[in-house]
Amino acid sequence: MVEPGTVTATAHDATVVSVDNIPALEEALEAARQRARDDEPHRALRAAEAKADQQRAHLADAEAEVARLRAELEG
Amino acid sequence: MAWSNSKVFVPFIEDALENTSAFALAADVPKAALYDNDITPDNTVATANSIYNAGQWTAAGNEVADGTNWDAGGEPITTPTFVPTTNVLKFDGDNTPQGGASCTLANVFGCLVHDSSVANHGLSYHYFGGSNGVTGGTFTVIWHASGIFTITLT
Repeated sequence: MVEPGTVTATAHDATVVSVDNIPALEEALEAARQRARDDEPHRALRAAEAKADQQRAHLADAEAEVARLRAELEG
Repeated sequence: MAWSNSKVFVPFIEDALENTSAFALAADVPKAALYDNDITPDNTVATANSIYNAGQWTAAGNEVADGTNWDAGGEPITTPTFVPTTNVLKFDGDNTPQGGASCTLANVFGCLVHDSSVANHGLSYHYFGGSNGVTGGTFTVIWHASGIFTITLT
């Protein structure tokens, strides 16, 4: 006697990966790049201001040293 | 009237076993055509109504396409394989991406997998679980980890 067999054919659900609005993403990316470019001069100004502050501090130290030495000579 | 599941077409199995149609799944070019939710897929239809652009699979008013980004008639499923593992025969292929660079599709609920090498006879249909769409983006059908379909002999 031959036992009956079973055949099961199953199609499986599929899923989808989709990405919306690539143009919008590209616009956002370009806007971010533009902001970075716009920020470039500000970054240079901040660096120049920091350098100027440092040099002012050095000048103040030097002037203080000159004043001290002058006081010693005159004293 | 709507999608609710995924099935293998009965006429596909019958036609293959009776040699009515000469399917060669690992060598043919199966395609995935996208559809909206206006149709009610049925795997027990006759061969004639399992074919792309026939019966429930009539393209007009039902198929979702976007020029060459997702062709009417479907995008090809590359690397089709039909491999037995013990008592399970698995038909699988690469995930199916859009054909173009930027795709716009709406209201996609499932796809018909048909054999473009055998007069577009339907092999199976696959539910995506709900509505899917994209605007100016990418759209890829991810086949199930168990394959496109399996035939289990017990």
